[in-house]
Amino acid sequence: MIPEQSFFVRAGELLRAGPWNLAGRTIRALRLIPGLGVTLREMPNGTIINFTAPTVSFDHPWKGKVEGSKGRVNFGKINGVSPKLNGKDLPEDNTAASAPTIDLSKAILDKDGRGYVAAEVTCSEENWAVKEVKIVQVADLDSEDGKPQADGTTLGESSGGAKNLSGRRARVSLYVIRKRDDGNFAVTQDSFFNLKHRVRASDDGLDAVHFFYV
Amino acid sequence: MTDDALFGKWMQFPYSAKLWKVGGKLLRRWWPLKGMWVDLDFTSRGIIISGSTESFWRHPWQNKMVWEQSDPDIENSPFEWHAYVWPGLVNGRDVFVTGKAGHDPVALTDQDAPFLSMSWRDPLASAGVGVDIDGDFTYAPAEGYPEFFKSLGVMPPAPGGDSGNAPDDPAKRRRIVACDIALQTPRVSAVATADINPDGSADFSTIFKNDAASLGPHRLIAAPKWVPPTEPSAFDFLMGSAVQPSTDELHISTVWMVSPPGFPNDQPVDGSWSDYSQYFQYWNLRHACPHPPPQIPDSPIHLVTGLAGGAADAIIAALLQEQNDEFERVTQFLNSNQFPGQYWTS
Repeated sequence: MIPEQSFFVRAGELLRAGPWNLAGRTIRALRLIPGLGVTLREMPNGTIINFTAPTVSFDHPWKGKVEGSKGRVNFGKINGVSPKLNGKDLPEDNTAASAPTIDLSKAILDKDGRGYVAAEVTCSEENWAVKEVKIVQVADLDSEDGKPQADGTTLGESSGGAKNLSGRRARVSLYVIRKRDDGNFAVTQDSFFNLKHRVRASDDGLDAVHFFYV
Repeated sequence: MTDDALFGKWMQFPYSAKLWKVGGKLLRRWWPLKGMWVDLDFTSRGIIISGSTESFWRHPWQNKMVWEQSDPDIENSPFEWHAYVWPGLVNGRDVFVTGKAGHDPVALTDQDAPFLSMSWRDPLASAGVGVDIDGDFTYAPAEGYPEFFKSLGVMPPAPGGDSGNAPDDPAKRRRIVACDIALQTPRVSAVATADINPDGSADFSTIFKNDAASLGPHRLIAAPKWVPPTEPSAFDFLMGSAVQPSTDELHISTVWMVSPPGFPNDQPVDGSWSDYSQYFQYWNLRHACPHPPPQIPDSPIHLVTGLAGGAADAIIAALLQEQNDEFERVTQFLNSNQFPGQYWTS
């Protein structure tokens, strides 16, 4: 590295070839050279640096999109079980124009305008294995019908895991929707990966706490 | 334009104005300007060129630091650094930030996004001073900072020892401060008591506390130095002095602020500083406690040790030597009344 002290001179000191060449070498070392994904435009007053690499779209399982009043969700699996939306299978390539959608014009929301697009699993009677995954839109992950309480609030969070609902069902949030003042929905993604599921069953096997993990 | 004009036969006195201008023109042409997806940070030791994070996908808990007034509603309120955190979720639920005094906490997903006010610690200063056996002062080494900041010319931390000062390095003249952001989740906690009876027996009981429920849901806090809550040990339970923390907590990120070179040591952090966030969490979280409190509180365990004297010595000695079954029963009782939660990603 060129020692920067070599550039500086005192008043009255002759400017010699040595320091001048040093300045020249430094200026040359500062020349910008485009690398991968970079373009340079050299102008009289500077060089504009642009990165040309396109923004990578993170297209992951369960990715949520809201287009007007329609909600979409990417394909994903829970314990290897594929989901259905409105009774139809979700396409695995996420591009089918006929992919089922959620009608958000009838979205169920709490008093703060918050709702969920969730995956509701149904477990088997024999061993609590996941036998069905359904995409649903709810305001409360833990209420039986997914609707909020009469005053618009939701049930408090259980102390551990997802609550067991009737019929051996449980819900996991895929993404959160919040209605803004302009009527549009803001999306906050919750799940990004295919999920695994297991339960901690009660001693009599009739009740359980559900856990979802990656 | 080539740079050949700078060298070769032009090296003779006096220098002409033409030669001087060649250098100036080259320097001006090669001066970097901000284009698409680029951030530039001009320092006296060079220009740091980075890809702009504005173009990239924002992960949960990602920070955006803004230098703005502490309260825009108050005229002439001072400027300070605010951290706007991209929403993260716990169990699919919102995480909240304490708002203004007298106002409800605000969810990260609210339309008017809340912010965290930062307060800073100095990782360059000695961590403390003590006195050794000879009566001399000894200084603990400073906390320090990640390796990355050395290349930016940040001052070295105090090494500790005989002096609390850091070595002077004229090439490293940038200050650094830090602030931690952590997640708090209220949970049920237990307080264990042990009562020693006159006959030498001991009664163990547990009181459950749910004070943290009043704190509300999951919260983000900013603290100069976050310290994780400490779970009591089994010995604390046996001694009857165990008090479990009422929250589970998780370190989300640390915000480092670096000053311009030569920034005065007696001046506070201001808008000329640059922010760098160090993340420990990148995904949304799930949280659960081992199990809920028993519906019917456990009956106190009554142990007859047959020995007088200190409770711990008497109980432990007796259990280890002769009361293996009773020891197992006590252990199960104590473990059933502990509720440290676990976080995992989903």
